[in-house]
Amino acid sequence: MSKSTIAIHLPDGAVREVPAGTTPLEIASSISPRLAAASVVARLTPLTANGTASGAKASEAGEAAMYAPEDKTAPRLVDLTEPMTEDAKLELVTEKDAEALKVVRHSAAHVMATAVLELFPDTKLGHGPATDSGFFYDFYREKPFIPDDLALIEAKIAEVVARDEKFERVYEPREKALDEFSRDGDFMKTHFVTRFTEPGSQVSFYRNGRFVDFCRGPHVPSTGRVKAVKITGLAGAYWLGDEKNPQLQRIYGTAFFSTKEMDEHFKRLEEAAKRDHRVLGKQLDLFSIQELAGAGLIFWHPKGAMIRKVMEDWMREECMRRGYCLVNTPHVMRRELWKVSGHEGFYSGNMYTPMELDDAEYRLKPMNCPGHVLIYKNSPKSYRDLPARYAELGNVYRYERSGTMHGLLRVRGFTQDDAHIFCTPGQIESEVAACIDFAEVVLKTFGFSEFKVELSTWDPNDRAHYIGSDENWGLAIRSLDSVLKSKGIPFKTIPGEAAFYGPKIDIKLVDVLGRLWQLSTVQFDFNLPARFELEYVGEDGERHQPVMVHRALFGSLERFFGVLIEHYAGAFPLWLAPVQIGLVPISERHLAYAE
Amino acid sequence: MKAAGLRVETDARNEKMNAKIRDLANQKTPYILVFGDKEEAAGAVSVRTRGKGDQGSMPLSDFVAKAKGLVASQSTEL
Repeated sequence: MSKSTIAIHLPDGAVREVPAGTTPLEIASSISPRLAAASVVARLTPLTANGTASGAKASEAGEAAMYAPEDKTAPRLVDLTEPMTEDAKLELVTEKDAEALKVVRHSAAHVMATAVLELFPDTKLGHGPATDSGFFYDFYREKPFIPDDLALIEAKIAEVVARDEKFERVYEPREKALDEFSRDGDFMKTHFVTRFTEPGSQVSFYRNGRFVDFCRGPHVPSTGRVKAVKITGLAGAYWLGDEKNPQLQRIYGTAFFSTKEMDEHFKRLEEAAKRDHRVLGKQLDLFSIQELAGAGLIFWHPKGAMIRKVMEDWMREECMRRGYCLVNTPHVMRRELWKVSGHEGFYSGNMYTPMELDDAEYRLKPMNCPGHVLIYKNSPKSYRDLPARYAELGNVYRYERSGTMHGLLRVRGFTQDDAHIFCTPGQIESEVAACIDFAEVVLKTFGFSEFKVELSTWDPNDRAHYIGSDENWGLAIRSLDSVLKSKGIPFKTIPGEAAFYGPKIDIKLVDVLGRLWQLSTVQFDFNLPARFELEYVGEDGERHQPVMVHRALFGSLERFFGVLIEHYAGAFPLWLAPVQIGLVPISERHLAYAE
Repeated sequence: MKAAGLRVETDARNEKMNAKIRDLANQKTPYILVFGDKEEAAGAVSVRTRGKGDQGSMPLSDFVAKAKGLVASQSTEL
């Protein structure tokens, strides 16, 4: 397949015929030395590429994505010094490109490992990926690192950066590499090479100076490009997450292309820490979580409960104005109900375990839907009764692993502003439009002006995974799509992200620090109406199955409150403030005037 | 003010005025009203608004009308 000349297509439409083996750096240099100097890596899309999907997936597959040989037919980031052998589209990635940051952070992990091995040569290497906020590297050492070591490592990192060592990619036969790793007692590297490479293959390594690491890259051209780097923490982690295995030391760090960007990053973190709802919750006496009662369970103190009352009153009134009926349903219900609803099957692991009473087993509700379904089913319905909109501020309990709870944001008991709409297929579009409208009003009223919308649809190639008719799925997805389009709301469609029971729209609000929070959701459900055999008599006199829509706008009152606290840094707008006016009489005799 | 549906807290502690103002400000209270003989005689209040500081004195009825308006419109201005 190899050719002597290849065609490289540049973003401006130009096509360069160059000898096979030409590198992106050579192309960059021929365009301008400045571009060559500014480039970090290159994005290469072979012209034989089978779409972009496989590339996107491969980059999210965790360890396999770090070590498994790259799919050379998919779009990918490559080193500037990677010889190109096929016709391809080439884009030079500079520091401005969002993906470049991940590359420099991965390179920073190598730089840190270089520093650690120079200071502590007996250390064994685990793996060291880039993360969303920085990078880490797992190390094994008999004697654990102490905080003073981190300062030494940081100083050594500066030396490695100053040496400006080139990152070079080298290949070695797999068996030779494995021999060397096992001879040196590098049990973790042995594991990764064994697991992620094929016998008889050439294994990819990256070298900078005397440091060599099993890695498929890509990397920045040299260690000097890691201009701003800082160690941010140290934690223990068991090898392969198993507590029977040796304990590793995970050193966290972060890296940027400039100290200015890094300073801004730490300033943002500092600002976020000042707004931490757990700190403000205590300081302003809004809520607590009590050891004696259990993790993930919220106690709303008088001031927090006052804000909650204002939120609830507003929501209930708004629901009534918009034609919802308010309902209430029990917190514990018979296990039989959860069998009919299917939760016993697909959701059991998220539910509290059953409690046995004298007549039957009961379970705490993790969702309000089956309760609302029973209300619908309790009397015959005709098309004249639809849409039926039932709303409840329903307390639900979901099992979260101990140790995973986080303030108001991740809890075991919470209150959904939950509603279910039962309607005819012909009413879908106007109901969805009304839900989106309502969601926008919620966000605006509570002070969020910016949000991001995602439409999760099915993967039609995986039909067996989804329940409900093709017709209903098509109708639901088209309605969600057309409502968003007709409202001019920008959104991202994510195929394959829908739940098995229906497509959905998720609305993520953007807070004052630019952080995204998933709160509102509008979801179709083709599962429950079928399982509970819901019906209505249509205009034609025949029985039909209604369409069911779940929607929650605050999402969870607890979580929304947590986000509000951080968004406003505790300085709630007047209409939400638990105490709106503080009275200060200058002396006791003015108290009467206060009254 | 309570009759107007506003949520009010009186700091009746035997503390210095400045300490009371500081504590209410630390609780991020939107409005702090200070009053003594002068205000009482005039039917006025001296208003401190969160984030804006001392706004001077205004008739009590004007203040109540203004606060009620902001609450009713669910304003996020204050």
